[in-house]
Amino acid sequence: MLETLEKAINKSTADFIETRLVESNSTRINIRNDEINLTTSGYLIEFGVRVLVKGSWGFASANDPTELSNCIKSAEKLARTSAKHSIEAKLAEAPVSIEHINVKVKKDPRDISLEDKANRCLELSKRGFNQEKVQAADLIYMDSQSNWYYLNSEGTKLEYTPTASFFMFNAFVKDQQLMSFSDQQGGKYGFELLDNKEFFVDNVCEDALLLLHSKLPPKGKTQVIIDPEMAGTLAHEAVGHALEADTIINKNSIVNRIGQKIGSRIVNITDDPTIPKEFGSYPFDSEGTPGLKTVLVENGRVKNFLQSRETAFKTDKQVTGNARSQGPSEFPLVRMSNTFFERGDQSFEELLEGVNGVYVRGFKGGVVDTDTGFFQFACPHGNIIKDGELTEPLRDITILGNIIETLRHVNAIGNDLQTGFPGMCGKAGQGVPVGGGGPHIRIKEVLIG
Amino acid sequence: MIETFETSVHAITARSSRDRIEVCKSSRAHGFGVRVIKDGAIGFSFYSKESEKEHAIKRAMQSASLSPKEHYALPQPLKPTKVKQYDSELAHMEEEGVIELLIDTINGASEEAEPSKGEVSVGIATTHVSNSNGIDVSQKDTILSAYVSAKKEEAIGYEYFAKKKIEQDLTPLGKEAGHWASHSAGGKPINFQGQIIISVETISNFFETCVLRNLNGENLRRKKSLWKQDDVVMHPNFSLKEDPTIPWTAGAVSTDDEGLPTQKKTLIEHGIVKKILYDTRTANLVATKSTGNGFRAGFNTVPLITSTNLILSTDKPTDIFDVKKGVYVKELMGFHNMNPITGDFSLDIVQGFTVKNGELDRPIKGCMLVGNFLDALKTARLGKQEQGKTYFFSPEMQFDGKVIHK
Repeated sequence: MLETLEKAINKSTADFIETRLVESNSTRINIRNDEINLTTSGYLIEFGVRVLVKGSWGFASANDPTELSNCIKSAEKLARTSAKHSIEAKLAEAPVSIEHINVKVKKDPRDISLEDKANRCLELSKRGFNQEKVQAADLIYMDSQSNWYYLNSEGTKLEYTPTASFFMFNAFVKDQQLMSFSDQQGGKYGFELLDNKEFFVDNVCEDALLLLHSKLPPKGKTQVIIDPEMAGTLAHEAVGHALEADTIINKNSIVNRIGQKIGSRIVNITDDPTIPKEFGSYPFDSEGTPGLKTVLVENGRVKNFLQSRETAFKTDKQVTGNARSQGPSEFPLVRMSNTFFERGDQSFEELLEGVNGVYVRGFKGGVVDTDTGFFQFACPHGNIIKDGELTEPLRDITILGNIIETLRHVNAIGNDLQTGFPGMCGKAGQGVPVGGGGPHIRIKEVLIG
Repeated sequence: MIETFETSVHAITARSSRDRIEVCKSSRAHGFGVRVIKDGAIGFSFYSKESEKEHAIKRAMQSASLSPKEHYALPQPLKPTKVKQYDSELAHMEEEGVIELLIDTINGASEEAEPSKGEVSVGIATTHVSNSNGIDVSQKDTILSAYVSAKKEEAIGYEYFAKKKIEQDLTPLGKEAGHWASHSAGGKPINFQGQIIISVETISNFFETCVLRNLNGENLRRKKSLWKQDDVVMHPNFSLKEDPTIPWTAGAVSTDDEGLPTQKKTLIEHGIVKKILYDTRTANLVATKSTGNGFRAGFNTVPLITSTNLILSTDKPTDIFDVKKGVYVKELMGFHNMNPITGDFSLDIVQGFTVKNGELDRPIKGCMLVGNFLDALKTARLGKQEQGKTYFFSPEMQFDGKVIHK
């Protein structure tokens, strides 16, 4: 495959050309209640070509490899046509690599029959559906094995064969009212992802039941302890997005310089695509640059921005391997990988000591306005903390605030770092898999909405 | 029994950042989805090259062998509805035209503010559905969509639209975004309880998040819906219609992705649920007929229940701006944060204004609108002028609500 791609790009007259091609075999299993709803498997091929002509980008994609030459011509034409109105793009240096990475998993999904996969999913969904007050249960399982090829006119040639799997379980419970709770797991795993997941399903059902007896939170400013999943959200949504170099270059971020103080001295945040098995891990980004661990915040100050080759040139920094796209059919953008708060030195019990406030658990959705630094996260549940004890359960907690103000109010960080919370991050209409987490974190004052 | 769904899509998109173009791209995709019915059970697979067809059918048969025996049969042919959804002028637009439209939005936004982000996309799609019952339906679609945001100081204005017909000039869209940004600058937080007026974009977002799920036949069948036929769910003056036949609108479509004709229908009449939406599979499970709402996200997915254009109307239009004191909410942020089942929300007001003696008065910022949208629908009032830029059409809405200072 690399040879075919190489022949095609060698004919291009562009100043820079790169092509990405992905072939993937995928399976999807949908279970509804105690029944297999549908199993789907299929094979897809997709590719994209990006060219730079006199500083102007052009991009074309298709899913028929015989269209490769036409796509190159089309991308070149688009670059030339838009040149008059384009931003002038230049690329920072990136290592030229020739590599073939074959990632092995414990239970290769290709070695397991569709029937065996479906039956295991059914077993887990039935377990949930048969629990007390569960009205409906949905389980979705997906796996994919891909061949990923990257080639550019600077001589980089990469081949990578990732396997990934994901599953989500959603329980709907009812007594006086209807409530729903879902949780998900995923990463660079094979079918072993579904090993020992009975406890996970039970937890989802328990959490759903808990919502039936939970109150809406009291609104107003209060002291808050967030769990590792919410810590990951805070690191990703509130900090990571504001440190994406394209956002900073376009003056759409509240952060504007390295060294800027954005948090208390105990705040340390890292982005790392090299953690094995995480949902947001990768050996190379969509520009063929190796993924690197990047310290974003050190002792409360901005240490690095996340960079693509284009933004690294503009900001005169090194590349960080954070140019990612949803697939080969999309244009790479500066994106995070696995973003997390580094561990502190206190136990959860120490964090709770003497606190009156709210404990926030899990993550439902979030938005951040990097321009103003305002963020808003929705959390499925939590508890009132009274004199250092977790008391009444709460549901639908919205926490909101300003990035800098909130990080400056971080007054204690736990020693219980936990990662492995998969999610899809959206930007400019593209979703990419990301991971992250953190330890428990105490924040002196946050607004509960 | 077998059904093949074939689709071919070509789109040209230009994206801008501030006043320059970031990238222009062309994307093409072509592929097939194949559903087989074996002993009343459904199997599915997909492929992108004709040569893979046999292999995909085998995979679909294997999938059917694991599915429940639902005694399902593929739909029978019916006469397609005629809908204006393909504009040959738009279909022939090349990259120069797309770039020109994007430049229009930038120029428009620059009049009163600074352009921030923009995107214009033109797409052509052809679909063909055939099944062993004799359905053999093709349709062609064009779509033009645009998004623009503008900044003035810390304030942002957004505008977007989608339709199936060409527009010669998108300057007004950019102008509108610039206008809202410019008029939102210098906002102050407030606390307020009283009459809230929300824009059509905001009503549309609420409907998408917490209303439509209750009109979905699959959710009703599986007890995941709060509503059922004949429930009183809205103000007695309100009606909700689905109309895929409105020419050139984003939701204009003659047949669904199972090859069935789409229909204009009343979903809620005088506040009472009259019709629930179905695809053929769910309809079969509850012994009813498909409403022509089986649409797919692409050739590699099965049809799911999806609505087209929605029109919310009232028997008694009111001058909803005729208030001494109120708040107008143009844009809220973070709908995925609200509870889609209960309708409880607590959302940040991105663009909002106080209303004084029937006029927009001062911009507000740093506040949240809180309440329950499903409850609000029972007592709300609708204005006089229907508006809508994508799939949802309605007058603006007024209800008693609360804005809190963050």
